[in-house]
Parts: sequence; structure tokens; C-alpha cells
Amino acid sequence: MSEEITEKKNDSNWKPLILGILCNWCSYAGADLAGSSRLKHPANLRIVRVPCSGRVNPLFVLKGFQKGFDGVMVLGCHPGDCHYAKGNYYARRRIMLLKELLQSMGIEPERFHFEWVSASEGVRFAELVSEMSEKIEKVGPFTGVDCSKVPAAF
Amino acid sequence: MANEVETKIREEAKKLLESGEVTVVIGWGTGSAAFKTTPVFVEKPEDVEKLVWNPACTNNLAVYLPQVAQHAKVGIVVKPCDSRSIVTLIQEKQVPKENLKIIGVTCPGIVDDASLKKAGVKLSEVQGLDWDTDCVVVGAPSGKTKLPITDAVKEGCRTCTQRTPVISDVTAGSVPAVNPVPIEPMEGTPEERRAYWAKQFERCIRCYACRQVCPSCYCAKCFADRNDVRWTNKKADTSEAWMFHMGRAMHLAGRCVGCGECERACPMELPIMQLNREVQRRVEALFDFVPGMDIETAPALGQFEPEDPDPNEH
Amino acid sequence: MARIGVFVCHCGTNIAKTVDVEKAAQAAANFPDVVYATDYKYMCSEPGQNLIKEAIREHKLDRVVVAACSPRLHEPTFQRCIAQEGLNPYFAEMANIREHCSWVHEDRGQATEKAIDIIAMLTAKAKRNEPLFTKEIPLTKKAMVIGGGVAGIRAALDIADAGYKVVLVEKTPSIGGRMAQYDKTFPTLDCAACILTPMMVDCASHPNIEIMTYSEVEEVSGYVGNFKVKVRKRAKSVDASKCTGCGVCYEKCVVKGLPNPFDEGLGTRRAIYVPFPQAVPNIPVIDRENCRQFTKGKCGVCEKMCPAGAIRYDQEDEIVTEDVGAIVVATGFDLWDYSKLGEYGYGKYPDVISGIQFERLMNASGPTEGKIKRPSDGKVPESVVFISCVGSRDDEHGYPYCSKVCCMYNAKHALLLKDKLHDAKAYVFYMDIRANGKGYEEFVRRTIEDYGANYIRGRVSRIFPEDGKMVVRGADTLLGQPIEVKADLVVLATAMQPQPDAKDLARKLGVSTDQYNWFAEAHPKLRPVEFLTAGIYVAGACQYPKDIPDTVAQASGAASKVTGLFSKDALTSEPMIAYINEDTCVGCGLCASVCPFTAIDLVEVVDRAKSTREHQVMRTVARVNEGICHGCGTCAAGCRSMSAKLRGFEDTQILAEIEALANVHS
Repeated sequence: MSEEITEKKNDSNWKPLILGILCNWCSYAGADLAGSSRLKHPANLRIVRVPCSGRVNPLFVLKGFQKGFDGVMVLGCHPGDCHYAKGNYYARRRIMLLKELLQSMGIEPERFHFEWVSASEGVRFAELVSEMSEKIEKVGPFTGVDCSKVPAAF
Repeated sequence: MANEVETKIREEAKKLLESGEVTVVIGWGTGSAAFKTTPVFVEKPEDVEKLVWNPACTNNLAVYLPQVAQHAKVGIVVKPCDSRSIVTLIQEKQVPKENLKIIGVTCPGIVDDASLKKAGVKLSEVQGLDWDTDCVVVGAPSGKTKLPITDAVKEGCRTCTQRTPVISDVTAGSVPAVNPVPIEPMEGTPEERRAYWAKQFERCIRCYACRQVCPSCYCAKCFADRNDVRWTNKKADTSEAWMFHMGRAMHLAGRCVGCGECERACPMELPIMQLNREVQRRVEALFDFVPGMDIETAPALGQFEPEDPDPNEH
Repeated sequence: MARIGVFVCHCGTNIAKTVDVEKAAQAAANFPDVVYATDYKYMCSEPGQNLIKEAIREHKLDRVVVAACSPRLHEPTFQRCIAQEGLNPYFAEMANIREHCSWVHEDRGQATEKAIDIIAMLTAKAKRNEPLFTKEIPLTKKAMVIGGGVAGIRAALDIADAGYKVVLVEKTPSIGGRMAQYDKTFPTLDCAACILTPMMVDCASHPNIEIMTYSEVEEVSGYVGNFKVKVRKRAKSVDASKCTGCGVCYEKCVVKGLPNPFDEGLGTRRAIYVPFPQAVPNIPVIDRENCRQFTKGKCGVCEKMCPAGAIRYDQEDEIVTEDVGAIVVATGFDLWDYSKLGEYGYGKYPDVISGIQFERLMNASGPTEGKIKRPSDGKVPESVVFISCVGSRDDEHGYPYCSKVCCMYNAKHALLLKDKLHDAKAYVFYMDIRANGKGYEEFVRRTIEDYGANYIRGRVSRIFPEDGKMVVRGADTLLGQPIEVKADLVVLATAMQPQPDAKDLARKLGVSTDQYNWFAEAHPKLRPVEFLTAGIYVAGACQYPKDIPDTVAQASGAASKVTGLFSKDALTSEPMIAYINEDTCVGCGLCASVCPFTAIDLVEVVDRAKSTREHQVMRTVARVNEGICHGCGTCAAGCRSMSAKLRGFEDTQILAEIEALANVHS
């Protein structure tokens, strides 16, 4: 295990770092609403804005894990509400598959979250960030996809 | 057992070349050793004797089609998995269907040097290979040995459920009676699985043989070779290799037909098929989709159903 | 090398209270390519904007990152601001450190750290921003309306009255549609013809309207402002320029007794015919399947009799191509074939008819000249049963939806029956009475209270003939007992369903249909008369069951959308749209199949690598139609060779954000 990760694991002040990829019309607006409603939540999420969840290339998520983020979150408009009508349906196929593949690859399910958040769901957004933070805090810092950072196993 | 199929392949190839329906027939020819074959391009009717059929015919010859058959009439000999590659290539507009004459062969399963070694065969002693109902027959100076098919063939062939070509103009051989072994999902805790994969990708030397041999990897410019966007850089670093293989796995989602060529071509013996099988297993479970079965069906990630599995239900 | 300026806003105390803005600006100053960073109380204020402008001049900035509120709020403000300094507006990025940071966190240390991360990400993105431009797209100020019913007529008239040319395409020999078949309309009981025929005539005589009857849309290409529509004008076998509409031809035609679809099979027509006397245009067509000249090769009676010499047996279908800027789809509805519901005996018993057939029986220009007679023996009925929801609200046999108009026309039929035949009895079997329109509830009450129609809440289970009557057996669910009515005539309110060729037309137009094949609007509340495909609009019952007031309202709505579009001199394309790197595109077509707007076509281009001077080799690549693309990026995320790209949200930009965040934390 690398020093960096050991350090993180022993640091009682450690907070997870979560990458969020949010669609502009629903989920980013939902996050804005959480802001204008002053709904407090942990300062762990960093948001990348994309026009539509259909724009989310699964490789963005993979990149996030390759770069060692503790979690990645993809949020889009609810089915039927997509600003572009169908982008989120294509996204759903891609991201649901990716979500399962990440499990095959040994990335804890707690570290990846895919969800629908509408522009009116500021409360839901704030809850999601809190819930995901808590879950990741339980599984601990992400030890990376790199062999040198993972314990020897089978 | 392979002889009559071989004869049929040659007859059909000869007909195609003599009639001028195709300018070339792509098939397998005798390799540098008895446990190997090599791709051959037969252009003259008198050369059809070069075409062979035996358990070592591993190459998925569909890999040549985007280059060869875009603008020419081509005959090709295919196993069931290869035929599914052709379906994918036609769906994805890489090969016009009307340019192809397909000689299909039924397939009980294929061996390669790795699978033979694993079955305890001394490669240096192999003199010939054939099938006999549910066995692979290995000829050696000491005599013939019969190995149960599921012990001797490549991993992908053990689990294969498609024993006859899905698309062909003629099909040689009878339907083999081989029962596939079910695909086992990966075991272990997440951390163990991650460690396992890291150990595999650590060995990757980024030679891209897996990509070059794959009929579905026909992109003129692979994402891994792009300089304008650095999806993964070129150094042989575990996390970069992870990124490449994961990206490739996602690109093959709903497209990989399980021919196993990537794994055979890998000089570092990475279990690439295990990764692809994980993806395909999940594509089938999530979207009820099996790649390369039907030209008319839209690709798994090129369509959706309103009732698809939803994050709120999973 | 970019020269980036970072401007951290205090937003009064909204940001500065939680985020150490000075520290954030200092940190930003050390990010790659940042040449200037500062903070200020209100960046969006005039002094704040001037500060940015001065910095652009002084430090030769070519990218600006404003760390302030949400880009959904002030992005246009800062885009305008830097544009005034001559920078491309898309060189401005906003780091959202208010809604996403200062307002939702309390710990100053953590909030400041997060704000710095956000600035790092947007700075990295801004560095890779490319200049973006809008493009002008030319516009053909001529519309096509598909479907010549009341919706199509209203839309065509509104567009034409606004001064634009309209082509009105109708499948049958006359415009008028369903409404022309009706007798009176609820709730005012105006005669349908009195309202509709003047509109039909207006259409025909309007200098801006060209009517193409007996015509169908074959093929649609192009995009908003620039559609090309191929229309097949079926051979009428009559020269419209010579025909005077005198009617001698169909008076003399020897093939008689053909069922007239306009009369729903209750009346007859001849082989050369106009569907109804008020047809517009008043030009007959020859039904070639039944005309003796065509089936036997000899007859020629109409040709001999025609005083104008207008009969043309050798006329052929003609394909015309129309250039139009907008299309209104108003193709109307069809009626459910209720012979499917075996127990009601339609098709078996001539006196079980549909609501539309009853309309024809009541209509003064109908087969009985408005006298209500039952089809089997011409008897004037003494008792009539009306059954609602036949195929509607019936998941098992028909459709789960409500057809919306049946409750009202049941009431209308019952009222008119009582009006014409005072002693006749009217029974209405209903599930619920849905009378939610202006004057509708009052109308139903009038039918029941003033005219004495007998309303029975319940379903009919069986209809069978007995002693020259139809026995209607059902349940009265209010009384909770079985009921049996002996009727002379049974009228079924059959479900409205989409036209059988709606799906086909949708495919040609590149628009969506719903699960039943009704045309699907872009959004039920935000864009109710538009399709997702720009420049194509929807009106009337081809979208969903509607009555005449709703249909006409929507038609005027669609028309005003068209005239709104035409009021511009040219269209502007969105700057943030997809494009294809044709050098690396392999033409697999995945992008085209996932595009929600069918904005991507596969085109043939010369394969330069394989072509020689003597021999040109082609290859297929995808191409984005800039007039159609909305910029969702679903294509870009799916493209394996990364050849499909989205301006403003390029892979390079998004990866740069991810990497910048990783770098801050490594």
C-alpha cells in the first residue's frame, strides 16, 4: 500500500473526493436549487457540467476512477423528462452497463452512483451527496486501480 | 471428421473462384506446426487445396473484411463465432453484404497452443489434430490421444452456445453435439477482484495485438492512439493499461462475439476474454441482447427501451 | 498558450462569507496559463464588468473565468461582457462557487478548498475552449400542411392570412375531413357544414393556398426552413384544368352501387365520383379498381358525355417536389374497427352501427337525406341504444385511453334523435360522463333533463336480435341490477385510433409517435404543438383524441408557430452543436442511430487514401445537419473512434476538468 493511501486511511479528517457529472437542464439545476434553498451537505462533490446525461461517455467515469477519485456520480433527467427527449435513455443503457462492469472490476458499488435528479429536486440532490459521502466514508479511501496500491490477494 | 468438411470447403471455394463470383477466398491454411494454421488468401481455383479445416483453425478471418471486401467480391470461410463478427460488420456498415460469399462451417470448438498446453499436451509432439464426436484427437508419435472437448478447447469455445454459423451461403458439417459450460461470474470481494485485475493489467505491454486481431476493432483511429484527447497515455503503467482495456471493453459492449482472438494474440497471456465475457454476460442480462445474431437488430447501445433496467429499480 | 484571467466574485457576502475569496484568487493565480487573478465584490455589476474588460486589455487576456454564481444565471452576462472587448463570447467560463459551494457549506476551510478546486476545473476547461459561432441558415417562407380536415384547413388559412404561401396536401379527393361527415356539432348544435364549407371554399379561393387533393407525401428531406417534400399526386383520370364540376360524368356512369366511404358504407357512389356534393375541389376522380374502362378495357361513357372533354384515362401519378420551410401535420384520426369486439355483433347485425354512421343517417345530405331509418329495413326507430366507450378505456379489447369526444356526441345523438323523433326513446349506456368543456356539462344535462334521454350507468354485455329488435343486455351499476332494452337501432361510440399510416408518415418526417402511434409532441406543456424535429408542427386529432374546439385551437397554435418562424429573415444555428471529424469517422452509423433529432446522416465522400487519379473510391462518413442538431452530445458519448464531437463540451474540455481536479489533489 502506498504511503499516500496509508496516510489517508489514518487521517481522521479524511473526506472523500467525489466527481459528479451532471446534465445541465435537470440535475445541475437541481444542484443550483439545493444552493438557493441553502440545503447544507458535505463539501465532497466536484461537478462537471454536461448538456445531457447522453453526453456522458462511460470513459469519463473510468477516467475518474483511474485518477483515483473516491467516488463518481452521474446524474441526469428522469426518463421522459430529458431536455433532448431521449438522451437519458441512451445514457441509461451505457451507464447501467458501466455500473455493473465496475463491480466486476472490483470497484465497490458504494463508489459509483447513477441517479435521476430533476430541477425541482434540490432536496434529493443534497440528500444524495450526503448519502454517498457517508457510504464512501464507510468503505474508506479508494486505493486505486493500480496494483501497487492494492493488497495482494488471489 | 474434419476431412469431409475440408473437402466441401475446397469444392465451394473452387466453384466461387471458377465462376468469378469472388476474386479471393479467405480461409485457413497449413501452419508452421501441426497445432497451428495460418490465414490464406486463395485467388486461383487450382490453389483451393491450400484450404484446411481442423481444430487449430482459430483465426477469426472476418478481421480482414473491412480492408478487403469494401470494394471487392470476397469468399470467406467462417466458424459460427466468425459469422457473428460478419453480422456485426454488416450491421455497422463496414462490409456490404452483397460483396460476400460465406462458406460456413459448424464448429465443435477450437484449440490453440495455450489451451493444448493447459490440457497437458506436449506441443512439440503434436502431429495432427481432429475431432471425434465430443473429443479432440491429438496425433503424436506415441499414438492418438482423445481429450474431452471441454478440456482441450479455448475458454471461449467451452462456453460457446452457437455451434452453427448464423449467416452463410453454404454450411459444411453437421451440428456438433457439444454441451457448453455455463459462464461463471467473477468471485471474491471487490478488493480482491480489483487486485486480480491490477495484477493482470500490470503485465500489459500495450502492444495492442488484442485490438489488431479483433474484427470489431476496425476504427481508423483508436481512442488509445489519439493525441488530441489523452484518454490513456502510452506508457506501460498499470492504471493506463486498465484505462485502455476498460475503454476497449466498453467499446465492445454488445459487439464482442466471443471468438477469443484477443486473448490468443496476447503475448502476455492477459485474460482479456474474461473481461469481455463479464461485459457480454451483463449486456445479455440487462438488455436481453446477444451480439451478432441478426443483421436487422440495432446494436445494444444504439437503441433503448422505455422499460430498460433503471437505476431506481436496481 | 492561453492567457487566462480569473475573477472571483464576493457576491456581497453570499460567497465571501463562507469562501476565502482572496485565498481563492491567490490560488487561481498559480494555475497553469492563468496570468491574472483578482476578486471583487460584485462581478456582475457594471464596475465588476469594467474590471474584467480592463483586465482583458491590460493583460491581453484571451480566456476569462468568472468564479461566481451558476452559469445558468449569469453566463450570458459575462459572455456579452467579454464580447464587448472583442473576445469570442464562448471564451468565458463560470466557476459556480455560490450555488454549488458557499450556499451549501458552512466550514470555511472546506468551502474555500472546494471553491479552489472548482476554479481549477473551469480554468482547465477554459484553456481548451474554441471560438464558437452561430451560423445563418436560409429560410423558405412557404409551409406545407398535411391533412385537409378542419385542423389542416384552419392552419392553412391562418398561415395564408399572415401572408405566406401554403401547400395543403390531402389524401382523399376532397378537403373537409371528418368534420364534413358530421351533421351538427356539440354543444351549440351548429350545422357542421355551415361552419366548415365556407372555410373549405376560403381555402380553395385563397391566393396563398395551393390545394393538392388525392395526394400523399412520399418523401421528406432537409431540415427546418429547408424541407424538400416529394408529393405523389395520384391520377384522378380527370383534367382538373378543364373540369367544370357539372357532374354529368357521375350521373351517367354505369358502375353503380359502390359503397361510399364518406357515407361509411351506408350510401353508394359510382366509379367516377365526388365523395360528397360540397367537395372542394369539386372535381370527380375515377376509382380505377371499379371503373369499367380500367377493369374491362372498354366503356368510355364518361369521356363521351363530358362536355368539357376533361376525362383522361391515360393520366398518370405525378411526383412533385415542394420546397417548404415548415410542415404542419394534421392527418386526423381513424376509428376502431369494432367488429373486433365480438359480443356487440357489429358486421353481423345491420342495425348495430357506429356513431359516425349515425351522423350520416342524420345528415341532410346523407344517404337517407337526414331521415333516421335503420339500415336493415328502413324502419324509423322507436328506440335507440347508444353505447359509450366501445374500445376506449378498454385495455383488454381496445385502448386504455379515453377517446374524449364520445360522451359529448352520445349526448348530441340522443338529443338530436329526440328532437327529430319526439316519441323515440334514447338510452345511453355510459361508464362516466366526461363533459369537461365550455358548455358541455350543461349540454348533457339538457339532453337528460329537457329531452328525456335515459342514461344508464353500466356496461353492455351482449346484443342479439329477437323479433325484429336488437336486445341489449347489460347491467345498471347504480341500481345494481341487470337491465335489458329492446331497441330498433344500436349506436356504438367507437374509439378513436391513429391513422393506419401514421407511423409511416412519422418515419418519413423523422418525428416520433407514442405507443399507440399517435404523433408525439415535443413536450406536453412546454411545446405542445411542436415536434422535436424543428420546423414540424402538429395539429388536431392525429396527436391524440380531440374535439373540434381543441383541434381548431391547436391548429391556430401550430399556424402561429409557423408564422413566428417565418417572421425571421434567416435562422440561426446553435453554436454548441455536434460535428464529425470525417478523417477518422468509420461510418458505422451509431451516432445516427442514437441521435434523438435524426440530425445525423451518413454520406459518401471520396476516400482520399484509396483513390487514384483514374479511380475514385468512396467511403461512408457521418455528417451532422447543423439546422437540426440541438447539441445534446449523445452521439459524441457513443462514438468509439471519438470522431463525433460536441462543440463547447469537447472530450478535451471534460477530461481537462477531471484531470485538473485530480492534479489539485495529487
